[in-house]
Amino acid sequence: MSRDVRDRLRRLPRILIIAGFLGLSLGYAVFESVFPNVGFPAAGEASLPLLLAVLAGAGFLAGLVADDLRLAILHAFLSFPIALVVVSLLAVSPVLTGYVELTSDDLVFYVLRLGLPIYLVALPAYAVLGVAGLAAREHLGLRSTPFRAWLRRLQHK
Amino acid sequence: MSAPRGLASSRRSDGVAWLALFVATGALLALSIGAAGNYASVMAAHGTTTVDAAFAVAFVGVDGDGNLTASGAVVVTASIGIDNPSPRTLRIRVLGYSGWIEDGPAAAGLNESRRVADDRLVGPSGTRYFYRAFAESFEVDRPPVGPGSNGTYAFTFNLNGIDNPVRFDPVRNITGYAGGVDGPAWNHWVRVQLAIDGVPPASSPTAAPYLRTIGRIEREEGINLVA
Repeated sequence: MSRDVRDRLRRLPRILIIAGFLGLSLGYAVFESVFPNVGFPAAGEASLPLLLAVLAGAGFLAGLVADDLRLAILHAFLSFPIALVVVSLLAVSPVLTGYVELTSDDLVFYVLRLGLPIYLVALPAYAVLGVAGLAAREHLGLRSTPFRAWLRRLQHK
Repeated sequence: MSAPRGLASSRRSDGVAWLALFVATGALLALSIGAAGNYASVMAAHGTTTVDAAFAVAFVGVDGDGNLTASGAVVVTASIGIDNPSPRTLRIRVLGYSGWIEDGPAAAGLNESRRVADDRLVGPSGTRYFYRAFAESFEVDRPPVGPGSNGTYAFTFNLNGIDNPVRFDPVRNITGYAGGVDGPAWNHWVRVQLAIDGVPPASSPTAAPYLRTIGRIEREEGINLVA
């Protein structure tokens, strides 16, 4: 195996963790926007500032741990299919409990269609805040360290 | 944007940022699981709640021939049972009730205006005419039905000649024609609206219809002859 391929494989878990984090926040934001009164926390109406704060916070944090701009963009794009999985699981959760018999595919498409505005907002939010996170990373002078090594160092201090 | 190798050693670790990311992931996971649980329990309440109704008709002020007197009354007692196997608390909010008495004089052609106005039940043996003696709909404030339990609520509907002569007189006419209060058949229909506790009502006037209805359960029992 060439060094380049090994290097990419080494980075894969980090990429998946960051994209998974962005996907989770996007999936949650979509579900909350579609079902605000049965979500958690439940509210009479979806709070757009709160949803934007969730997306912006996630985008900034992802930028802060991203290695470079190319990867930050990759995380944002990879987060979309993950968000689709998250929101689909949330939508079919009543069926998974066995309480209710519903047509799962209908439910999933319903949630995906109604959540479209949030998907449209998420990509620019992730891109802009991701770049802001990267800029903050540069400004703070952060460098990538294996997380376990960092934890070990923290315990020694 | 990654730093050159020589420079990297002089930079700080991004471990704190990763820790923040893991904490945020945990918080988002907790919120998502909470949302799924909340949503699933509401849908379970929609899917599993059942309502049954039993009705008893009593007559007050019946003369020796079994006819209803002018000072008498018809009292219908509806016993509404709600079975709630879901993990949510339900609150009975609105009750609609209609009660029809089979209109013998109209069916025999003795009262043409009622024959035209009556509600009809078409069956294999022909058309039956029913006079709508009760038509009530009101908000209810009763103790809630807890998760995984059931409750029975009794409601009484009264029809007499003082409060509602327009409806009471035809009932007298019908029971008199039938030869007594026990003669005519009754048809009852009830609609129960239950509110699911902990589901805030949609606050925006432009909210989607599903957000307005997701917090309430509607059940009907009996045949609605008006529908």
